[in-house]
Amino acid sequence: MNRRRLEILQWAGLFAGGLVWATQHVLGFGITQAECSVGGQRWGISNDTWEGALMGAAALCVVGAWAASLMVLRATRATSYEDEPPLSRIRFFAIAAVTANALFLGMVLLDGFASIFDVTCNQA
Amino acid sequence: MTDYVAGGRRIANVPHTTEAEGAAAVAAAIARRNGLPAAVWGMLILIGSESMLFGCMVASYFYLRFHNAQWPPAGVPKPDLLVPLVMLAVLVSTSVPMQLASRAVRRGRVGATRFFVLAALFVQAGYFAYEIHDYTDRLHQFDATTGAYGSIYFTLLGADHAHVLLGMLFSLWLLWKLARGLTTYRANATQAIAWYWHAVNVITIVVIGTLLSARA
Repeated sequence: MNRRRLEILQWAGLFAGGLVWATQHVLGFGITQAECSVGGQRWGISNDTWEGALMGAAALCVVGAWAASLMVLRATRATSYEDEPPLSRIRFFAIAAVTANALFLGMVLLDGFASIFDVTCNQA
Repeated sequence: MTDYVAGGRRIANVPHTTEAEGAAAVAAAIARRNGLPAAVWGMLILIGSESMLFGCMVASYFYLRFHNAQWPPAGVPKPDLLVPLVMLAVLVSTSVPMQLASRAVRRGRVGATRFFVLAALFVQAGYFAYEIHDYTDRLHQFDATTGAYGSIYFTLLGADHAHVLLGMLFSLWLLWKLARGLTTYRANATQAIAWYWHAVNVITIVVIGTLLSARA
């Protein structure tokens, strides 16, 4: 694997998980608002269906980011994060991404399941 | 075996920059370096996450403030203006010796590095001692359970003081390490800790500015 590809995979692995979770959270909020607001009621949006689909797509993306960081980790296995930059940075961020994406996957699933199993359109 | 090549070398042939020992070898290893070490990248990630933490607390402060007609509530004194600003200036000034320490260590000047870190630590310890005295003094006037203002005031200020304390522990650890000579590992740590102090100083400016906004 050449350096350019390693760099792309490393940055994708590091940032994709966080961005996907943030996107899921904002879009999920919008879906709930669309179902529960007066203006969106005629659209017939099913909160649970859309939230479930959104959660599935987001979880797949995070797993993809996780796979990317694992590939970088494997490609740099002969080195250490204490080596010369940029190799040290690529390996170091791959380790960080593997850890962070595990957390982001949990957050995506919790966000999605909470939106589905919580009572929708209930006045707080 | 991977085919990745860094700077014309096979991946396994890239030297470990933390292996250098002694002032001259460390200075040469750092001069050859063409990017930030992993220690500094790790510190930048920490600074990013801590900035988000303080960003959320500052946002909570203003959310609470805009939902209360009287801020601070009746019976709670407004924060002082002069002393916090002077103490803030004292703390922020320690960015200068920390940056000088970061520069000195890159040139392999371990004696100068120790001096600058120690000088900064001396000032930071004075700042911390006064702030803890002031914090406990404030707790005698009102506390975190007296209302939203007390809750966010002590949370925000306490979190900031905790970060100053952590920085002092970092500096103490660094001085202990540097007392046994210079390695690239310790040089990387000096640079990372200098970054930490710059971040703590910026965060303290934001925290004190937020708390002083109650006077407006």
